[in-house]
Amino acid sequence: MSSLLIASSSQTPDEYFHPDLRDQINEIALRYPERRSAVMPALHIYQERFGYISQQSMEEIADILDMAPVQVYEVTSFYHHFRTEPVGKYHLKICNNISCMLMGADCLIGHIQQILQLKCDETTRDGMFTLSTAECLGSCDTAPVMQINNDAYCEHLDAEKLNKILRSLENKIE
Amino acid sequence: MFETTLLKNTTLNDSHLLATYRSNGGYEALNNVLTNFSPEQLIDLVKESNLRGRGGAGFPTGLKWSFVPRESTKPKYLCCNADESEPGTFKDRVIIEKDPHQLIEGIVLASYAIGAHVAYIYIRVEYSVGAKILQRALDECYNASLLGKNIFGSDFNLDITIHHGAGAYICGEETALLSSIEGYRGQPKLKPPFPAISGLYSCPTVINNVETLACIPHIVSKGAKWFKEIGSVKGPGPKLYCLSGRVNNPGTYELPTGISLRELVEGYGGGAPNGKKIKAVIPGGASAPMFPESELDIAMDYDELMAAGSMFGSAGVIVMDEDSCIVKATLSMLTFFHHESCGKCSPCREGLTWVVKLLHRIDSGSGKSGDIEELEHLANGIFGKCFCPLGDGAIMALRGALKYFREEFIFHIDRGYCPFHKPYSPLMLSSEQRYDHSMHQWH
Amino acid sequence: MTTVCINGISQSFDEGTLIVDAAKALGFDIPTFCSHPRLDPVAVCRMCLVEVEGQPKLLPACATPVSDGMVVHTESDTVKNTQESTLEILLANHPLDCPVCDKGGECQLQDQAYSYGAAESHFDENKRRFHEADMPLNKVVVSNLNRCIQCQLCVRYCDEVVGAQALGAIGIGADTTVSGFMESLENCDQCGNCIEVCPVGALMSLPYRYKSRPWDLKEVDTICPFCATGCQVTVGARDRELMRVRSKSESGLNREALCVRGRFGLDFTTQTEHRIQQPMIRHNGNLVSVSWDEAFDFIHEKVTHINKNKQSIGGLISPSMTNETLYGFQKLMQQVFGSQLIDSFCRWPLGQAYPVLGRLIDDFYSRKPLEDILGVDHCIILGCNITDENPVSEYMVREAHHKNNLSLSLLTTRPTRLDRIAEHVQRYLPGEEVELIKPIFDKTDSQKLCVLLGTDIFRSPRVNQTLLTLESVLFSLQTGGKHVDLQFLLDRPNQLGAWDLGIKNGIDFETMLKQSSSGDMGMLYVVGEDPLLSCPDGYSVAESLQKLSLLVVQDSFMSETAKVADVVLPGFTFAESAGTFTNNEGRVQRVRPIYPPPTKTVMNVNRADIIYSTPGPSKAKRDTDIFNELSLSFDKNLGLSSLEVVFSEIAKRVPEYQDIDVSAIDEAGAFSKNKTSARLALSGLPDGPDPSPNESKTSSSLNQCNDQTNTTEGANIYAATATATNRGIFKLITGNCMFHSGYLSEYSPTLTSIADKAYVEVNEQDAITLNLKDKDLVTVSRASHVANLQLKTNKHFPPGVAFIPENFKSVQVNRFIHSTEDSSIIKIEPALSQKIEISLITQAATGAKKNQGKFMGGRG
Repeated sequence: MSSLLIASSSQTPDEYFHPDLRDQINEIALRYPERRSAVMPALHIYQERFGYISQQSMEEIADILDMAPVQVYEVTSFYHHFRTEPVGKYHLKICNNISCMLMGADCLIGHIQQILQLKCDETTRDGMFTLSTAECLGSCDTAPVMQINNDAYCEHLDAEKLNKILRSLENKIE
Repeated sequence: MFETTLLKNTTLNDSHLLATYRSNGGYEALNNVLTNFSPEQLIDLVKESNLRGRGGAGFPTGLKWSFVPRESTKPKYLCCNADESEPGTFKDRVIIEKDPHQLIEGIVLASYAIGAHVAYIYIRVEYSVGAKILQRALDECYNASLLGKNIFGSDFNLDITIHHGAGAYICGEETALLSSIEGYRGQPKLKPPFPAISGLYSCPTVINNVETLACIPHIVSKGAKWFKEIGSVKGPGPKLYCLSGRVNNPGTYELPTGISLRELVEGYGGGAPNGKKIKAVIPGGASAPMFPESELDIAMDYDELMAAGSMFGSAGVIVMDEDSCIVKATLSMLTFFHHESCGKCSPCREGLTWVVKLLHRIDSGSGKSGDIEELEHLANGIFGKCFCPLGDGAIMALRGALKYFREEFIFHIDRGYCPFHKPYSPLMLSSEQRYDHSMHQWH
Repeated sequence: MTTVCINGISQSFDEGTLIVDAAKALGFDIPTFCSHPRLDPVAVCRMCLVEVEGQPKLLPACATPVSDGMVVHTESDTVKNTQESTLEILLANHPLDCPVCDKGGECQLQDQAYSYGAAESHFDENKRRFHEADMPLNKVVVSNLNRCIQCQLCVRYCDEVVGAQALGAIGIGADTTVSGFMESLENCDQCGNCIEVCPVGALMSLPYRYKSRPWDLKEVDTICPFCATGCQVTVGARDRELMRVRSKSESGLNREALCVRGRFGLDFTTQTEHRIQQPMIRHNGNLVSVSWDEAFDFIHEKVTHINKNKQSIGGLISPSMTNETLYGFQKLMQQVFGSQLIDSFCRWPLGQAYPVLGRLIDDFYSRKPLEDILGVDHCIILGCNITDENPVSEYMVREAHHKNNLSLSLLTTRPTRLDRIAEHVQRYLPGEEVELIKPIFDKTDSQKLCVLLGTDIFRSPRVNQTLLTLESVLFSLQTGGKHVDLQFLLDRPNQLGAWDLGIKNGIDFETMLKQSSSGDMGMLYVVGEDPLLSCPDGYSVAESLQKLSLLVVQDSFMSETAKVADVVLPGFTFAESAGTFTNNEGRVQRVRPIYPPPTKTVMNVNRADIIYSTPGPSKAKRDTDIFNELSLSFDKNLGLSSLEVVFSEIAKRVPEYQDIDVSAIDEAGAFSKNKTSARLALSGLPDGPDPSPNESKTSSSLNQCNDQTNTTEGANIYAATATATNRGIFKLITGNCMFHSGYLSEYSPTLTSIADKAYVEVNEQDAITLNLKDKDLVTVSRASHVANLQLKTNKHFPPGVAFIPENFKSVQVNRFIHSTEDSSIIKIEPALSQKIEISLITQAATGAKKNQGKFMGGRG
């Protein structure tokens, strides 16, 4: 599975200055009395576009919202969702909080680690999968739960179901 | 006979659409209020209903609204707290995904009551599905002139913006939520001043939980008396309970406040799967201290739970059966709180780091004698000294476990292993073994 | 007033008094880490938790105001146990590396653990380690995050006081660290205030690293010489080695805050190899070392040959000199050389403006603490990039805005950091301020306002008109019943002192140069000034100086002017001098010697065409001693024997200083008084010009002002200049940059390591139009003067305008400037050669000893 090689289709943040994002962020900023409030929406927009928040992204956001770059960095680094490093194409986030833990989340995590041959917060060498644990996803009645990227949850997981999901993602890649 | 109110629409097809909501009487409460109520009258009605906040603290909603200084020339803000993150809690998500208009109507009513013309819904980023549904609902409202200028032809205007969180449990704390919207790190702010006086952008602000706001249209349409007569006297109303963990029928249940925990877990929840015995139950999300099975005959009521040393919290009920390891469960919860500590105050930041280190070594079998006393010593150093309730919540969870299940900790330390540990098996949870979902209200 | 009972003692306090302050007043110390008198309380360290009866939880004393009837316990068992456990928790992850920590001995965590902590810790886990080796964040700040206790003082101070917003809290929870953007502070102010407020050894001074223990330092309180804000500095030294500079929180207007120059720039005084070490006279075209007697004889001989009926004698003294030196110099010029021609401000011609300047000072100047001045409703800052020129004054303005809602109007040439909090911001080009002053006053209807007048106003050839306009505006505001306080924001530490001592009654240096070039001046005596670098029309200054029959330069460092002098006399540096400075507030403060003058000579840098030192002991003297001894060789005795004697003479002859006893000046300084009020108190004193403006003058200046207002071009001035930039043509403005002040700071190894490259700053769009970007090397030229500089772009900079700092000697920015022009025109284009022009001094300081080609204006 980890032998798959796929060229990343997402844009790299190296291209200097993104007028479309600037316009989008400026528009969002209008919804708040202070421009600075648009910093989280801006970070979401940049992360969605580039997969993570680069130094340059932070500088651009600081410029758009008239903030000091370190203030953008402070916000970026505070929230677990924002990443300053690229992650795999599929970011598997498995909840291991109490309810999911009681329903066997640890076993699932061990299972994925074995299949994908990686530890938590690592990315497969082909850049396809990153595994992380997540804090409670708010779906404890369907535990154990996993979220892939920012999509709908995978619920009532067990090893079999997990295998099926990973296989279908693999097929998507091919 | 208790009648489902909050979840009434959720079983309908297309329950998230405006048309469905309106054909079931939706937005009539709003129309009624905008035509016949002054903001003061609405506040009085909510006060009269005895509605208490459903987010965890249980503060009387009407009273909270009444703190907003009417004479202030500053803009006022309403923030809907949809940052549901307390482990074991998933009730707000049901409302957001299945009946978003119920929430929006509540938001408009609350905004009208406090004189806010801008409202923000702070929704956690993981609820991406819910956020999309909510945004669609908002768009529908703007198109139908239920939001924006001159709602229902009145002179009341309101804009609602969804603000996406980014994975920080602490932003569920109301002042941290405000910091987060303002574009700062989501850390709690010093109180006083309280948000009702100086909140978002230093303006009067009310922060209400999703479920709290969802109650408002019903109080308007059915009256304060109706609401007051449901469940507990001091904290009445229909209430959403979240059942999870080792229980046969996990899910979201709407029942009156004051229902007994045993009835909830054994009756509605159907007890633990595979005929196992229930060992412990957490009544109100991870920060609420757990009860052993022997203590389950307690009413799910703000004051009674408090008196028994726990709390109603978010009504996230987590069940542990006889195979569950309390040490591991405690470690899991404390790891969560430690991970989510914002780092602002020393006792929470450094104290929880230490607590987790101790729990880790007990859990892994390398605990030392005296570690339990050390945990208690640390708990004393942290509890009541933190900046916000997060640290206290963590310590409450720890103390609850130590209070009723001390011998499990001692066992781990003395024997050096976990009696509940099972070797890793990838197929431990086969689908056949799994519980029956037919009883779910929603999933 | 609210009455509270703390530990059994009842007392009344002002509303809003915090428990921690009330307790302190009653003699109970409550330990804190995160609380700071200049910052908003945050109550995060939880060290100050106290018991308040009736409250379910302990309350933070640093953030809780007292309320009536409150009963507080700060020393109960509960409180003591809490302090113990909080310290234990804080120490759990704190490394026990005190023996190698620079903070050891003055560490708050150490002190509080000793006073309030338990004897031993229960913690037996591994401590958290963010990193192994300490991490330098820039040239002056080094961080050890393992020691950080997350009080956030540094981050908050950087934001709330300094306004730099360079530091931030990075990460969340137990992983939080304090650092700059991408873990670097390379682009911050480097003011080091974060180091000062850090209660532990998490942020440390790189220059002071591992140098000394605090108890081994000999500390001297003196005044920073880098601008006229007049910050108090406490200099720690050992022998002639400067260890560190800090400031005490309990005294001085700056209350612990310093800027980069004050905290790190005083090491210029240690650069002995650039000092003038022996008297020198020009012999066969070269400067050669001689004895003091030979030097004095040489002067005596030359002076006797000057025909005083045909040729005058002029004096120029730096406003960086102490009051005593300034006074002694005037006495020397008058009594020995019989001359009244003295100036103390040669960078721009002020001569015509001296009368109105004198009236402004006498009638409107507020000689009181800046903090009080800023207690008004509205503050107007005229002609000053206060962020760069007077940083610590700027901190105080920001604080007044933050704490007392002081509103701001700015009329400045360059963008400042106060722009974002100001109500009105108006950019101008030098010269335009005449028309813009009145409108900026018209924008406010505050009843109480203060005006801070910056050095840029004095940099313009229209300074006279500007001051006249200002006078009429202030006059009409005052007659209109408004309260107006005026203070300067000057860049030289004793400029106000120089004016007070009568310099503004002389003639200006430009007139002296004219006399010199026409052969009417025989001798010029220059003390501590470098007109070859600082005076506009750089080339013609050199020509004028060449016509003199005697040029005497007395200085501590080898200046460009000294290199062309006939006689060079070695004086003391700031660090060896005792005396007084009068700051912008009119506060007279003591300058104390930090260390004795150097005894050993270090070889000066040898140059092919000049030999200006031979090995031997340093012969530098106190400036007043030089005046004294010189007077003796003229058979006069100035009697400038000691600081006290000189100052008591000053107090007798200068009304502003009449009540001041120099030996009684403590750390609070002594405020001088305005002449008008002094005259009222001493009515009957015979001398002194009439200080009040006569009415006809006032009305004429009013008319003048109105005339000019009618011809205001207003905002379109930028549009006109912006088109000009397409060809790379810019209007030049000059001033001090943040990292340097005057010409001596370039001798500071630390400041030079931070900012060694002269630069030219322009608007970002202008740069793009020229196909240039930030940090590109550009060639700046005007006529035959060319300089290669680094380009600095700034999106807030006004278009069509370029700024070059005055502080880099190699640029000779004065050669771009003409004294009659409002703003000079320069051309900026991509660099012709890829070499940044580095000053001789810098090169020497960094060890390179290459000959840098010819000097300016050599008199060989």
